[in-house]
Amino acid sequence: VKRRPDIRMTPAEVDAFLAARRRAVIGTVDAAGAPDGEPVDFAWADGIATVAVVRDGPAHRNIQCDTRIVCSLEEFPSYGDIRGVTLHGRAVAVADASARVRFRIDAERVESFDFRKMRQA
Amino acid sequence: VIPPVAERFLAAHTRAFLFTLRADGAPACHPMVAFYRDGALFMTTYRKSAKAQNIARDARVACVVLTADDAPTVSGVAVRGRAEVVSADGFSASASAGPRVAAGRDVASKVQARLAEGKRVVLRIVPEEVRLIGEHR
Repeated sequence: VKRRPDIRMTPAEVDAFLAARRRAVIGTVDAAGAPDGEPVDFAWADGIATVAVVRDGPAHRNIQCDTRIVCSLEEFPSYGDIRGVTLHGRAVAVADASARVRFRIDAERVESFDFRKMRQA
Repeated sequence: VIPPVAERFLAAHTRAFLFTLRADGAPACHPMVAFYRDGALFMTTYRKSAKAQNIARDARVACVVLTADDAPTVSGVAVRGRAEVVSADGFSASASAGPRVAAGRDVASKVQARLAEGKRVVLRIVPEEVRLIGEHR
């Protein structure tokens, strides 16, 4: 049986990747339980991920109903160099004083991939 | 009805993020290549993939199509609707080439071969709700 190469990032690689990212895409679920998504501003500092969403926008409304969130970040310079990290967890409001509301993502699961590792396998 | 400005954007961009529902109802996100044709978004995935299984369980999806990740500003279109598996007949990954596929023509060839083998399937999303993201001209 042919085994797939392990293309996951190491924790240090995930940390460095997230520290360099300023944009992400988040997924939430609406009041009816249907998925929705939108791009957001992203920050990563001291191992904590935060995203800023538009006040009263779809993501803000959804998170108020259901805090479950997925946050995806990727880099696509070419097909063979795709890298990405996905955070699965809960959104917790940390700043609520402007047109944008900032949420911390308490990640319960982190997935990552680095296509460059396929060349090394 | 999809606004013309959204149709123009979808026809010109292929960088997409598909959102499905996991078994527990939590959202899942899948970076994809999406092609817009005849009023619907098309993409391919492995028949046994998590996203295909999620869609088989609950067809409700969202798909966000965006400008390149290194673009100075973000703009895009968010589409919500239901996904269905459709016939791969007539679907050409290479003919639908956008910036992502153009980066790997050999990848498009492999996708086409897997479609012919039935290992990959074509997903179609007919928009029920469309939202513009960022600035559009």
